[in-house]
Amino acid sequence: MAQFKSILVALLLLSIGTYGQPRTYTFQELDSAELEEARPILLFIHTDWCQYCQGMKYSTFQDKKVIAMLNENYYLVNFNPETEQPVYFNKKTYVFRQTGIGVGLSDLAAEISAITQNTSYPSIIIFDEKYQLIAYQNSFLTSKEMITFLINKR
Amino acid sequence: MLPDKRIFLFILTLLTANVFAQNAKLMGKITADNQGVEGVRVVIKTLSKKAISDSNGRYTLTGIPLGQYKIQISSLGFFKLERTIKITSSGTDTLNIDLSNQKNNQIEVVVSGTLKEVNRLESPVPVEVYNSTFFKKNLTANLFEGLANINGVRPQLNCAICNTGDIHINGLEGPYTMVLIDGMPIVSSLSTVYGLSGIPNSLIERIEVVKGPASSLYGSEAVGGLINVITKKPQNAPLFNAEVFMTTWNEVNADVSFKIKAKKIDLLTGINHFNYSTVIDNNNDNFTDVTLQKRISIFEKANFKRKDNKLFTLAGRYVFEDRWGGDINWTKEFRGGDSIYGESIYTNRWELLGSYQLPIKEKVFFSFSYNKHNQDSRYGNTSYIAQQNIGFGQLTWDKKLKAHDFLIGAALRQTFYDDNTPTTASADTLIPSNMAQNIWLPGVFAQDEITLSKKQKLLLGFRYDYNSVHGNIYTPRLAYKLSVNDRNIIRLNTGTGYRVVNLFTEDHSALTGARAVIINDDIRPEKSINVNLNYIHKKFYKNGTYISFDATAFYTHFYNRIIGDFLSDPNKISYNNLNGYAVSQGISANVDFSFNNGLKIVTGATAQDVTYTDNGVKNYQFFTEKFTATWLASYTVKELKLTIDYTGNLYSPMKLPLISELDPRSDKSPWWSIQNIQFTYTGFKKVEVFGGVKNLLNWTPFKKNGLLLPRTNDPFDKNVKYDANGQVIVDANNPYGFTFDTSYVYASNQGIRGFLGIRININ
Repeated sequence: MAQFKSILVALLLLSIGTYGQPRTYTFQELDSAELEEARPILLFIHTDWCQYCQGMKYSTFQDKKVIAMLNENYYLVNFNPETEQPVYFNKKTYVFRQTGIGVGLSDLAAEISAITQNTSYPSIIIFDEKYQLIAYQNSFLTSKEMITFLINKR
Repeated sequence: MLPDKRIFLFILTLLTANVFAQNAKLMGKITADNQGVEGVRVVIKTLSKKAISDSNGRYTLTGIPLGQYKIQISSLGFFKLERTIKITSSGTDTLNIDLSNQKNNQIEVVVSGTLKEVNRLESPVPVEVYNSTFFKKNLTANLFEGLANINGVRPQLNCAICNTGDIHINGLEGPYTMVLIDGMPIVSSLSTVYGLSGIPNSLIERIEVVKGPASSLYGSEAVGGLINVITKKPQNAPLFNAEVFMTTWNEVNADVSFKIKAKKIDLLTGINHFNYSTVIDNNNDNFTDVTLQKRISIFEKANFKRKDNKLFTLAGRYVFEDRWGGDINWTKEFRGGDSIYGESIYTNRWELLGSYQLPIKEKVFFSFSYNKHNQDSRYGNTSYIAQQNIGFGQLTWDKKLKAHDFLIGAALRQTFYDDNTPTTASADTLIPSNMAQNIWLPGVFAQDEITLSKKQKLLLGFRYDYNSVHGNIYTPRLAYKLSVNDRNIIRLNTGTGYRVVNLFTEDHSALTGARAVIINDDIRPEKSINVNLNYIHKKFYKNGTYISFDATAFYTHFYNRIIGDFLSDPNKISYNNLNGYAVSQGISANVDFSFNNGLKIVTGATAQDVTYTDNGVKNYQFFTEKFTATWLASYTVKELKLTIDYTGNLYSPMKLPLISELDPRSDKSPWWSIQNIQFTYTGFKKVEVFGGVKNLLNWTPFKKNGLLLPRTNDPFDKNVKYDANGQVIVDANNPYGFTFDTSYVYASNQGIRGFLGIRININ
């Protein structure tokens, strides 16, 4: 099965490429993942111009303990709300709303910020298995703070 | 992830119970093609036990009672297989799984879509991003002054008495910089002077600064750089925000912003008022130290919600400004007269800009801007009354085809300009008639951003404009990016510039009544070529500390440049085409530190060499420093909810114009530095209180040069005697052979001052 081989090679490459990083899921994968195993969802909202977001990517999200906690208990989704593609989340499609040329925001981020009353990046949002927002944090979290957050907000 | 206490206790109970039962341990390695596979889940559903393979492919399941179980081995979205295992004795069992040899598996492949993340900072053009917090570190009455905190960007004062300025990027003047609001260009050479006022900080999400040529996309003038003001999204903007601060110089700045969200439209409104109307003359030269100003500006942005979710946005701004400086006894009655000297400028400006995405499948945008600028000014008894209207429309088509990202467009610009100077007068002086300028500038452009590989991007651009006066203008551009990884990026950027200089609207020193303006020949457009090389390196530490470093080398060669000659005659500024070339070159570097304890340090320095070679003689450009540095240190004491911000600038000497050979003033400015400290208390719920001291060192040019403005006692030169050749006669009354002159200016005369303010934010 050549097809299977190629998938395995891809998988292998994927696992090598993601070494030291938590397993991330796309929005499309969430529904089937939840069916297979119900877990809370951790949404990491970042933008490409947010330095602290990049900082978290290279420190907190590379911490072994954080990776283990996320890989075993959460579905981690990296979400850049300034990406033009619509996102599908909790049986709803959220569009990207443009506010100028090359700028805009996903309606999902707008809906989240209406609940959290905060608009800064990075945002770490936890949804339960039924897609209910149960916890959020709107600042840089060190690996220690992240672990505390994950323990306390479960 | 630790479960809560009850679950924990429950597990503990189970564990204790299991001590007495016979339990086994299952270990193994998951491999494919002899390599361990990470992240594979090994689950025994009936026991609710699971493990995930580590980076070597190893997994361990413990506490398995004896029996027969079905084990699921899966990697979500990739494959799933099942094995049956019988555990007959306690101890350690091994189950290795070689995925490469599996034949009869159910393979479940989920295609995760082609979610290509569009990372704009991945573009071959270097973009520096400053969020609104950065501008709060050294609070200023407008964004124009706030930009002084950015390395390589300098608001320059062009006029000692009227304090008009423009933004210089890497040594290039304001008209070379394009200002955009949410990606929509404000096409106006005055946009760095006025395009940045009136948008309250509370409505600004971030400012993107591009240093280097952007002319193929934004017009042949945009060779210096871009300043893109990104406003907050209607969803993210505060419902209401007000900010007021006052200084010990009685300057008052008030900003109010609010949003309205309706079914079909979202509105953002910002109102700014600045008032400084106290005459202060600390240096006792009988002239105001700082220009008195009243300014009101209103900014409005509307986002229309269309059914097809396509873009339609409109923004408008109105600015009215009344500023004056001069003799401390000046009042409005003396405006334009020759008894008491004053420079008084009324500016009325409005602009409208917007973008509409066509309701078709392809991504096509129509962008437009219109601005009407009216300036009514008196410099002593010289008047300058001008009207500039610029209309601009542009159609762009954004098309992605595999590795290519095309942007194709057509633009049309119309500039109307009329004033009371000889520029717009007919050549026939016997029967003079007004000859207002009316220039049409149609153009087409194409750009292709090619993703050569994961690490390399190439951008090719070309623009063709037809100027109704000057003819064909070709503007090519090239940009290349090599990312070694996302923490090490090299960019090369090159392009050409072409600009028709309008002395009167852009060069305020041409207007300061003291000197007559002489235009010797037909001023030709300025032509230039620019190259920028940029390197970015970022380092992240595990503890959250972060360091970023970036360095840029820039070089601009002007084939023609229009530079005012201050030296040949103290009573004149003459403008000529350059018989030679001009060069603006230098290196700038920034280092940012963000420590995990909350301390943030941002530093930057620029060394530049701005010269012009005329008739074989190399000269340094006036009012241009060779070295500048900026810094910011910010620390938040979490327990006290107090943020301390210390900011500063350092400038090296600049060449200054003297009037006569006897002029006792220095022909160079000294090294000088402005430093500020600010405290912000965030302990109240919706209210922030801030205050501090500006210009801590109390540095003013007066301190170094006791004499800044010559002959303030005789600003109309009524008592200046001239000889037969028109040269000033030196006598006891005029020992240095001076005439009144305001061109000797390089910094503000505003000394140390305290400030206090309050900010209210309702979300």
